[in-house]
Amino acid sequence: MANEQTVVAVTNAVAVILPSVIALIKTLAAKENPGAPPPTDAEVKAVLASKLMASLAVDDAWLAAHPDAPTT
Amino acid sequence: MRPPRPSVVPILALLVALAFFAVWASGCAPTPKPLSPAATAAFHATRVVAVLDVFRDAAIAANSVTPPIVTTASTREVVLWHKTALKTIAAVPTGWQATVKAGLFEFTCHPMAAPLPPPAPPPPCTPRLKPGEVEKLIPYVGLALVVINEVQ
Repeated sequence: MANEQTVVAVTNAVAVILPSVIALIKTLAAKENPGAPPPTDAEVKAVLASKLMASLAVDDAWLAAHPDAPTT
Repeated sequence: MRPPRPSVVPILALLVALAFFAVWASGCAPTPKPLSPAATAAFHATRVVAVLDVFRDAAIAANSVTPPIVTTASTREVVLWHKTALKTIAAVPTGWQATVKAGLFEFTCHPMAAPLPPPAPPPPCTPRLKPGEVEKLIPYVGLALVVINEVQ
């Protein structure tokens, strides 16, 4: 009798606790690792500025290395 | 005599409440903020700068082999044009397309860069690059034009 009551109580407890534990894990996982966050406006503009500076540096380096190249 | 089994109604109510909590909690994550028009233009311009770099790098690489496939003079023109194009993109982030495409058209007379729409015949064009150079570099110009047309 006591054993049957214990089994029922444990089953009910698991039925209550397990979904809440799963939901908690999913919620925490979603908040801790939401994937790559979208870039902000400032980040996108900074990437363009950085890319422009790096590319212009390559241009200047080549032109400096070929100062005598004819223009025609 | 068996004891009465606990009612399932409170358990079901609790499960439903937990389900609502889970949905509510997962919905609390902040939604991504869309980029502003200026940032969107910067995003597209970054891709165009990358593909213009490919064109410039191809000219430099073709000039660096022995014997050079592209002359130093032509490479210098490409590098100088590339530099001007980048400065145009930086100065006019939303209005550089026509200028850049016109420059690419002058180099190779690529039909995709023609200033007129396709139904009209392209204007006569003599490429700034020499015939052998055009053949080597026109694939990179086409690549750049595909990207530019995509972000317009």
